[in-house]
Amino acid sequence: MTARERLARARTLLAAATVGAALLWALCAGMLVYGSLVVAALVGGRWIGSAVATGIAMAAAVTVGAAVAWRARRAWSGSHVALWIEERVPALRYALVTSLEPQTAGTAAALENRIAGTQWEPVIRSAAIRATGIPLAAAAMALVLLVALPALRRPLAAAARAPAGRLTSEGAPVPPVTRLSPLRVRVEPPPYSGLATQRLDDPAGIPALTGSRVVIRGPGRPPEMTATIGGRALDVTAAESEWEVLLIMPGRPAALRLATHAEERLIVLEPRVDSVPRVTLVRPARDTIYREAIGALSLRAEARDDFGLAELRLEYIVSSGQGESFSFRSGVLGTRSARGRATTTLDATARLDSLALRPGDIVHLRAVAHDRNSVTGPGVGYSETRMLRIARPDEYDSLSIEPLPPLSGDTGLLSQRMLIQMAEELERQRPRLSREAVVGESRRIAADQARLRRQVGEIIFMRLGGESSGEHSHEGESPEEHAVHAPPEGRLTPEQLLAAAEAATNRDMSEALDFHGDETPVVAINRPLLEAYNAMWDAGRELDIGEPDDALPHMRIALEAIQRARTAERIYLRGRAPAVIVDLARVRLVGKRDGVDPVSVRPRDDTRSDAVRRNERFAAALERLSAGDASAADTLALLRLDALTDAPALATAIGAAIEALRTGSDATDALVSSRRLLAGEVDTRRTLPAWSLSW
Amino acid sequence: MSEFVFATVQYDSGDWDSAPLVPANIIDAVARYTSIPVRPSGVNVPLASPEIFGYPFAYLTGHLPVRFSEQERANLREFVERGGFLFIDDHNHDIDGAFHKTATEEIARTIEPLRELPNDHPLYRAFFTFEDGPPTTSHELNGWGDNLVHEHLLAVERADRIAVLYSNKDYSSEWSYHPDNKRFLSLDNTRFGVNIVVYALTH
Repeated sequence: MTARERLARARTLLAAATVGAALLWALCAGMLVYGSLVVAALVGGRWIGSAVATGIAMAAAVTVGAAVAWRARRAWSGSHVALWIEERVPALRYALVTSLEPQTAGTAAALENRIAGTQWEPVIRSAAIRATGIPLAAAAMALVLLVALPALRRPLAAAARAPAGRLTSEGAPVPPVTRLSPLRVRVEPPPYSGLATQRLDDPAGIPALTGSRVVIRGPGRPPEMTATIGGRALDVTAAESEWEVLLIMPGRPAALRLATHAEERLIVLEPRVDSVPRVTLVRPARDTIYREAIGALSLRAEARDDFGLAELRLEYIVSSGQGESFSFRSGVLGTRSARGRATTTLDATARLDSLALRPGDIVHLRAVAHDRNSVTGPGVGYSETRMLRIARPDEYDSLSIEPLPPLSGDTGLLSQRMLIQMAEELERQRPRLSREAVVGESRRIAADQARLRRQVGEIIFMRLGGESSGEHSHEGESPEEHAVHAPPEGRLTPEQLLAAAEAATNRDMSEALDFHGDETPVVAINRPLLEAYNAMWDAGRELDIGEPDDALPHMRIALEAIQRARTAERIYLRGRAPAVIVDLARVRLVGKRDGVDPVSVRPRDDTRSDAVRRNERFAAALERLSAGDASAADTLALLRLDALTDAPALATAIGAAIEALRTGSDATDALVSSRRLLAGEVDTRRTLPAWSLSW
Repeated sequence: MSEFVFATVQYDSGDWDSAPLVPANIIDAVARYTSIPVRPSGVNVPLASPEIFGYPFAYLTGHLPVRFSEQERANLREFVERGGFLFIDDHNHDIDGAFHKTATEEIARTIEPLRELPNDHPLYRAFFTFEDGPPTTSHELNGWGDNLVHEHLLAVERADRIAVLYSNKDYSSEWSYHPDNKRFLSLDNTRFGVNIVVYALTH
């Protein structure tokens, strides 16, 4: 490469470095100026707008870039570059500069030799790196600062989108001031709540306690401005240089609509409701029956409220009488003023003799608390009610008349519901199990069923103060250990208990249950449990032979009986009222409207088509037939009669079926043809294309 | 089609079963005058049990104070919201009595306060026509209870239908006799019960 060529290359490199440096310095200047403008807007609160700021930053960048480029303009001149190189590479001894002037051949060759032996490219490279490296580092540092620092990044990003105007400290534009913005809201909660006044700046919603006084103010004068809630207009008044609206926070959420002739704004009113006090009657903890109205009753009630309680008291109602004649007295057993406390407790002692209670009286007792809500209330909270009853003397030698408690079975026993689930699961898996496995599993369920049955028997006897049902178990005993003992006198043997259970379940439902005949108290009072006991016997028998599907119906009957036994039952000491079963067939449509004559009322005409009715009757007849009901033939006969006039073919087919049933032969074909005739003509349509196989 | 079942509400606090003959009498009346399929005997359903939701019509009466437990209250609220019809009758016929005061308080607390039902409400034309509103009972005329003849029934309505119907007129006493004894009456006094049932089943 000749000296000139080398010089040209050096000049190109320096010029490129000059351009790069100018651009980088311009970028730095632009970022610096834009960032300064944003910071100034955040401090001063006024933003010139992203467009203007960008223009200013670009102008600054162009200026700086042009200045840098002008300052380094000599990099474009070959002679200046040569001089610049000569200054930095003394070894050239001005040979490079001289080579640029016209030379003789001999001089040029000598100059070329001298220049070729000198290296100036490293100097060029380092100068280029220096020229671009510094502004590149500065630009990178500025970029990192602007992007990495959240305090700068967010405002920059917000300002980039914001129009000219005020900026918040976050860089977000502050909306221009109109009559509906910004708003200042003052919320004054009701005095009883004890809450402080709250101030809100330009909110979209106003949360406040119901009944709070809400004052909304905005800039400008009130004329031509409206404020409404649900169509109801509010007064807009003048307050100094602003408008003002006063409202009371309603009980339900609502929208406050503010409007001028040019704009409209909605503010959501979010009421917070004062909840009623929560009251608990701690003592007495449950309903009780007293033999005599003597002694003291310890009472304790607790209450809590969100904004403070006013009062907690214990109330009672005494009901006296029986049958159709009752009288009532009410009063208060204790009161406590809570004076605004959030929680309070009331302890009291009631002397039963002071309530003038007589045998048969019922006392309803509860605690009541009031809060201090003077706006929508007061809110009143109630506890659960406890009932205290004074037993009558004629109840003592009879049965306990407490409501039936839930079965207090051994918690180690499987419940009847669980046994049913186990049997159902076994039945589902039966196709996949061997017979031995099914029998083994079924017997395990049978053993649990037997344990539960014995527990039911225990409960029946324990009701009467007995200690044991007398039923004993063969499980876990060897034949030598097992000995059959005669049951203690007066107790039912298991066989007698089972007989009583069967008698209970087979008894005619229309008979009264009040110890008539030879019915024992065991049977009368424990009927549901005896039914359960009986059903469990049957279930256990089926389970023992490995037939869980046959056991399931009995198990479900037992469960239903247990459920009934759990329901509180009232014992009628004077005898239970007879259970009246209405004979619907006898009384249907014989009611008297006016006077004496029965009304001639008939049901509406059946508007269903004959085909639909006949299909339903035929289906009902088939159902009876499959259940082995002899009346199925009669049903078919009536159906035949109905079809004789307009469907003779159907009548003939049904007749054949009836004849077959009467003679005991197979009526299937006749019934099938009857069904086909009832279904009517088959509607055939050619919707598929004809198939043809061509090979 | 399922049949109508007369359900009597069993609640903890009072004598819920003070009128055991009313269900049979109303069932008899429904069978006498309509072709509505009806079960021949009623059922007793605990208010605290979810079984209450299986019956669209429920009857509640008593003499003693009514104080619902939390579960009873929750079930009653759900029963009404699901479209059930509850007929309450004060067996005391006494607006100053504990049943009326406590029952109305419990309804107000659980659902909403009872309001007077106008005497031209569709209930009074649901089957038979009662031009003057609810028929007067012999107990009102004989001066039993509060010695007043109550002109209106009270009700809570939901979406233009009665959800809770409340009576001070002591229909529980009026209808507490064996249905076979209707043959001695010149005018069947259970006809209004038919209106209540038909209204409940058709609204």
